[in-house]
Amino acid sequence: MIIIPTIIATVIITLSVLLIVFRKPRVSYKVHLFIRNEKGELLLVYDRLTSRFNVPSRDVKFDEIPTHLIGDIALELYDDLKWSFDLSHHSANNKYDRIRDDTGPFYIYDTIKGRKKCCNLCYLLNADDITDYKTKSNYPWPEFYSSKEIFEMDADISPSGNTADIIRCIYN
Amino acid sequence: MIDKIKHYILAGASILIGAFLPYLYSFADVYAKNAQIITYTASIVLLVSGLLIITWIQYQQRMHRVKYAILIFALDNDKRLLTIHNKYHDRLMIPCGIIPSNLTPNEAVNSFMKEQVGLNADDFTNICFRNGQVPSKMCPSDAQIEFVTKHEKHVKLHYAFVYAIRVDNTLSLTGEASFKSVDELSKMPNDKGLFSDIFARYKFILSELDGGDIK
Repeated sequence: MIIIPTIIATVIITLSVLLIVFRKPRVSYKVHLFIRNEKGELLLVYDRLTSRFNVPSRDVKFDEIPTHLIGDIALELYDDLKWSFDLSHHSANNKYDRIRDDTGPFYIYDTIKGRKKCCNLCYLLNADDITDYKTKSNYPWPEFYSSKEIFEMDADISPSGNTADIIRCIYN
Repeated sequence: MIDKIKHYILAGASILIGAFLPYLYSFADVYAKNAQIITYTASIVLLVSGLLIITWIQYQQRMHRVKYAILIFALDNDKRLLTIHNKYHDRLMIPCGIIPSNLTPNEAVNSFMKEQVGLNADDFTNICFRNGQVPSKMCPSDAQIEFVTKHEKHVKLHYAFVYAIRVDNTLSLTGEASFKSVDELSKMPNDKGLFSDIFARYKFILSELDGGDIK
């Protein structure tokens, strides 16, 4: 009699562990914001993990809509950032009765780390050309940089990898 | 996330205590009336409650999870739209579906095109609406948020990536897949033709192709 609950518990725990170990890894999504002001300068923040300047980005949680995150990230950058989608790289929006249109990413790329796949969604935004935005601390040292300043940054601290490719793509 | 971990810890603790409660009883050597029945009942209750907590967490996640989907607008050389007969809706549709959780959107495009119309990744190319910037690989032309309320009550919304691709119309297609022009689509009965929003977007893509800066 004593052993029955133990057997049930062992079966539950073993099955849970097996499910966790052998389940197919879920693709995660990450939002990257390429925010340009009216001068064409791009907003970069300092990424403490990589010790490089990068565009602001955030992982998308399971119950979040990628485009809804944009407003959240903008708020975390500055108190009063005025932004809008850069529609020069998008189809214009139509309104339908059944579906609410949204503005999609202008570029996506996949990255793989071990078994985990990540889909990176890049959004291109316009920001008002205000120089005295009230900075918040959530993303360190946010600042608009011209293409020249970005391309002339030290190789150790400049954006790298896919981000650098996309920046080159935007400015070329 | 922290709530989820707390609930898993609670479920694990419940299951473990449920498993070892009878042992504690035997060590304590208690001979109180009905003590054995109470112990076993408590043990089973703890095991079941542990299972229920895990089920509840999974259900909550499923309920609130945003589902990613894709809509594929595949156009042939004459700008006709690739359509299939959708058995679920019993009407004309374009290749589309919910992205499996282990596939990225680009992988899902290849997978759906293979499954639904029998085309390989080499058989189609990306149509790009960007001004002079053509990514070398697949990229959605847009995205839309789609609210689902009718059929699956637990699904709150879909985040659908819209892909516009070019397909060679000489390729052989499987099943009931066929290319249809705007005229053919507009003559179809409302309950058998494309959904109005899909049709509107197809016409929009055509207008972009005709007047836009397309590569």
